[in-house]
Amino acid sequence: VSPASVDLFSASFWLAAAVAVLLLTPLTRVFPRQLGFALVNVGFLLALIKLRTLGAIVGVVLLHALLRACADPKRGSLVLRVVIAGGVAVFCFHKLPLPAASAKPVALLESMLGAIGFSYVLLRMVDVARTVYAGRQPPPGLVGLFNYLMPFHMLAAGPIQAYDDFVAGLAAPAPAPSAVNVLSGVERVAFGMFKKFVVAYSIERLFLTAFMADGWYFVLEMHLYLLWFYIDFSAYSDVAVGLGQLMGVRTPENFNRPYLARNMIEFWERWHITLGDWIRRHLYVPIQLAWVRRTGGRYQLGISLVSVAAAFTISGAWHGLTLPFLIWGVMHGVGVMIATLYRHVLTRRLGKKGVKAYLERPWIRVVATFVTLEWVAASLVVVGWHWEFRR
Amino acid sequence: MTDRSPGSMPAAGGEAIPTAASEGRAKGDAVRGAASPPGAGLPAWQWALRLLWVAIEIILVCWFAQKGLMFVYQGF
Repeated sequence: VSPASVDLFSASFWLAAAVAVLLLTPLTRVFPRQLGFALVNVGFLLALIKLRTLGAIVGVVLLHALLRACADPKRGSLVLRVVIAGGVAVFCFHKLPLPAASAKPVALLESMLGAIGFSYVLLRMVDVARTVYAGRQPPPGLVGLFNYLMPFHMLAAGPIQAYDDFVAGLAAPAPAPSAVNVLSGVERVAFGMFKKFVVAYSIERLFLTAFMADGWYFVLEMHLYLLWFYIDFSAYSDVAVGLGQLMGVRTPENFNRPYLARNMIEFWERWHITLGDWIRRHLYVPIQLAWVRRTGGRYQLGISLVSVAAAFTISGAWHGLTLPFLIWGVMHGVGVMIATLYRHVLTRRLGKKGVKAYLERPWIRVVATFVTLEWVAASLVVVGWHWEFRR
Repeated sequence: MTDRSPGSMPAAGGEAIPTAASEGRAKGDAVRGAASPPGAGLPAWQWALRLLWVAIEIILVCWFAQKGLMFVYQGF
């Protein structure tokens, strides 16, 4: 079974994009808009993974039935747990290496999960299930659920749209196509492609050695890798946001000059913003609330720190079920814990106004930004290190 | 519909715990909200310039995909 993944240079991706952009506005007058978008998404998957698309559709139908049960006050809690546990089990199957002699159906399933980017689909699954369970939204229809879980332009590397945001997008009227909007969308897509295939590609091919070099070049490569990582990753978001703008499909921003962050808390508000939001809503807050209930509200700072550590360790495991990614997650958790603790100590000593004045000092800003940047660079070395070459 | 979301529940003691991690929500939302494209009523020469840059970017992407980097390597 040949592996398949969303490739920004593939003909099927750009064909789907062209069809979506050209037809979605006219389709608005013929079909319901969601149905038009679903046809594009299914068509894209058919081009990418052919009949394996049926597996994805069956999965969505199953989840659709479970979400209806999720909204039931009696069975909701149990069904929510089933959805999350099932999703995590499929995720582990997807992330752990398959034995070489796997049966063909197993290999087919694995290639389908890879093509739809199941890591991201899992996060959307959890978001919609918890939103429905919380009663903030009614269970989605089948077509809406498919579009939420597998929008073709967000399959490669997110963003991870919150279900509330998706529903708000449905409620908003379809944007009228305008020349300025089209120019702005085309610019964004072209800039994303330029960043990925010219800038990031050049940095990678000319300078990166997977940290095989020692001495001063190691330090240089550490910073070039930091630069490459941001340019390459944010390029996917640029393409997704640009296409969303052209199609009139709400697509959230994912980056906001992350390397200007003054601490790791701020970093996660600027880097992969939709994942940072997801971690806060579905890991940090629930873990924190569970501990607060257990302790009766005592040890608030301690609970906050433990919740951060747990949330980021799980986040590391989501990025990859390997030791380097776990270390990466722990490093980011430690960074956020230090920032939380430091802010707590500063607030006790200087008061809120004093902290604000302190943080606005130019040299504090420079030092804090530098330290944050170096911490992120060090964490990326752990995942960028070519482990198999070093063994 | 009743709201059962954990985020809507107050912490024990009746007061939501202010945490640094939760403070960024407003900022993130602000970023997402700022999606309106600039350039309404753009003069023709600016349109031309922006389209030219898009064309250059696309040409470079295609060129790099084919042979661009080999040329750079030879330059070294």
